[in-house]
Amino acid sequence: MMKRCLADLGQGLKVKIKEINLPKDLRDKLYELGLIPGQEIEILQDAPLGGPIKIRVGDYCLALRRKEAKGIVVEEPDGKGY
Amino acid sequence: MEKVIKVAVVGNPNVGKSALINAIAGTNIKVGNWTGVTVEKIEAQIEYKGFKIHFIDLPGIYSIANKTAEEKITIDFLINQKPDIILNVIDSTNLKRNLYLTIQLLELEIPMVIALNMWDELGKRGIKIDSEKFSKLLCAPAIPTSALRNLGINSILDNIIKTYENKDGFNFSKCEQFETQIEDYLKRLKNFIEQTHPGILELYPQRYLLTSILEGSFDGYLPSEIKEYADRLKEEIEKVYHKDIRALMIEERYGLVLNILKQTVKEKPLEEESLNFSLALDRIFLHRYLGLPIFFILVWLTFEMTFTFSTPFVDWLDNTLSNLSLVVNNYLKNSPDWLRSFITEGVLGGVGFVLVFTPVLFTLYIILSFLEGSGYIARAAFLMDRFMSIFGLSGKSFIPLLLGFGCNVPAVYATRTIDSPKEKILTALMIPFMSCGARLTVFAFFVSIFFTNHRGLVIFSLYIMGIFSAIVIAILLNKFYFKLEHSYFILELPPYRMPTLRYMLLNSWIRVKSFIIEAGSFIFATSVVIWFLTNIPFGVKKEDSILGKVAKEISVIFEPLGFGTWQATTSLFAGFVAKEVVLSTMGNVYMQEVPQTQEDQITVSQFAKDTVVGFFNAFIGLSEEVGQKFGLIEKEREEVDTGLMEVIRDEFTPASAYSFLVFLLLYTPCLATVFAIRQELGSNRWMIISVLINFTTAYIMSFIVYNFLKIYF
Repeated sequence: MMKRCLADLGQGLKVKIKEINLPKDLRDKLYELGLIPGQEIEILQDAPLGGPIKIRVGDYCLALRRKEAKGIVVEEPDGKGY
Repeated sequence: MEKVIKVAVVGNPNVGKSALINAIAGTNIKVGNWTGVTVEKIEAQIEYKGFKIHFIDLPGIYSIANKTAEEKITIDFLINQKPDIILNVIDSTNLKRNLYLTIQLLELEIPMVIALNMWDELGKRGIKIDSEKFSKLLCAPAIPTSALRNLGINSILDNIIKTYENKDGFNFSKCEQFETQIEDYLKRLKNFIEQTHPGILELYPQRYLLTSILEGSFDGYLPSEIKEYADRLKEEIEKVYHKDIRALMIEERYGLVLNILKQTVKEKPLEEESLNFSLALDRIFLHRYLGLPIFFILVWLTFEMTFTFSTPFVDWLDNTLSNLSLVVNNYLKNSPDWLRSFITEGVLGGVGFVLVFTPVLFTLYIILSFLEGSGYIARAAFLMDRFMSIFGLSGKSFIPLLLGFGCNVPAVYATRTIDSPKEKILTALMIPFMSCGARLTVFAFFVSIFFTNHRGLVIFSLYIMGIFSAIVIAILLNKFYFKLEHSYFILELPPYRMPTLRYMLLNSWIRVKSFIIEAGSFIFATSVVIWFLTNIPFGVKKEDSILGKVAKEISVIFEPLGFGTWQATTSLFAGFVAKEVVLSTMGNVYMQEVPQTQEDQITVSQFAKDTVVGFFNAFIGLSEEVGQKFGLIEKEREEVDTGLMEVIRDEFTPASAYSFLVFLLLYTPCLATVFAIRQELGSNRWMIISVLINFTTAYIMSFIVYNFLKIYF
């Protein structure tokens, strides 16, 4: 089954983080911000022209570049894969 | 003797730390920079119940992983400066992520007081937090606070004192407990260090030492045996858990956080109203198509308001100072000429240079505090990120650069909204290339002599050349020095909040005060020195003053650029101080002696009356100015008689005139900008580099332009 990443998904979807495939430093930074496997996130908005995306992590909102969003592998909230 | 309690204020970004410190300390706040880095340092000292409490605001951070400049400053301060107490400011509406840092801070074994800030917003969201149980679980008193409602301020201070007095009876060790196997690894590491290098255990908080070695974030000196042992432990852990230790420990800490939340947060409603409000606003401000136009309108408003609102006050200050110099002149009428000239031109002129910037800065700071405090700056960064990333910058650099077209000085100070130190330096180095309003006066003068048929085109070409140079410099610096292109952009978009007027005014006043004291003293001192250089020996022609003689020597280097005369060189010297004085200096040096014109008389009482009336008129002027375009820029300050135009027409060719303008555009904008860079970047080194970059670019570009034009025209 193909892995789905955050960058592929459309606005308004709720997903769960499965794993983060990014350089270690960046992964740790996202981890510390609460983007740990199992955390639910919601994709809220896209910036124009391939700019960053806005997501909701629990109680707060975060902006990420697409490049980073590509490394965040997600699954459906019930944990069944995508 | 009074006891001094040193309190380090630590917390995530956007939790209202500075608003809380403002609420606690009022105007007793000092802004500066951490030595050697471009991160802002805020300190405050107050007296309370017989204690002196000294607050040091540490940069906003999400963790103490020792990776970013902000994290390094925090760790270094907490370990080496040994504060008595940590005041951990937490956003109560975003507990989970905030508590991650709190748990990490416990590892430092420093007594802690927790401020549950934004407490007033909880009610709106229907959340209840059991703050007493919270205190028990985290081994630290947790006090509900709100800077907005002035809630909990005294309680924070009381608890700081209470915690300080019970300092020794504090027990930290029980509050962070990982799962047993990880604790076992930590114990094994401790035993190993005890056996091999027990001294190290004395140097650092024990828990922090062990966890940070295992996580790989420890920054101090470690004997290689310990490193090797830790690496072996890490390997072992990875084999058991199929995860690296760092990820494991972050997950463990989040596990502890969830556990605390489960026990203390009483109600969790389904719909969070204030977050929804923010989401709705973002749907407008970050709209795929509307977002950018709205942003540009807001930027335009910022620009307009900064320069328009301050214009009447700049004029008022200008008038007051020139009246004051008349009064002083009158008062000193029996003193020697040189003394009168020194006091009115050197001293009062220097004070004037500093003061005329204050209305602009104050207005800008108010607008910036609003944009920042409301959460919009983060949105601006979000919107402009795609575009700015082309040059290795992020969205946050855009506003400072744009402000540069009005005046470079506030633009440099606006870089404080950029968190990344490298990006901040790069932006500050680009700002002088943005052609400011003062340069436009000189452009306009020359254009009206040489390029009457293509005024707009010539001026536009200069602006473009400035932007082009800035981009080239940015790309080069980035490629060879900063290497920002691999950087990432992870930015919290905090909820929209209304900053209080008190906070905005206080914050702006503190910063303007710090400009007057820090950059102001340098600007003043330098302008006094320049006065000496242009007036000594006293009474001679400008040509024979020290500056005139130096200019004669130096002028040869401008020969290849087409304007190698001592007059042009002296004008450039003047332009280094401020572009506003270029034309008047040219009048002086090209026309030789200009007869003294100011023989107006003014009495002291008339002066006092004019000053007061003028101040109130400025408010009336304010309402008139609103809506008028580019107040500061279009105002003609220089009254240059047509005589100078004739002389300039003879002295320059169109090619050398254009080359002169290019040089004027690209070299150091003014002393005030130079010292603003020094103050904002907290470094002499970057100040000097900035001046060198500007001068070199100006020289190269003028050379190219002049020699190119010489061939074709």
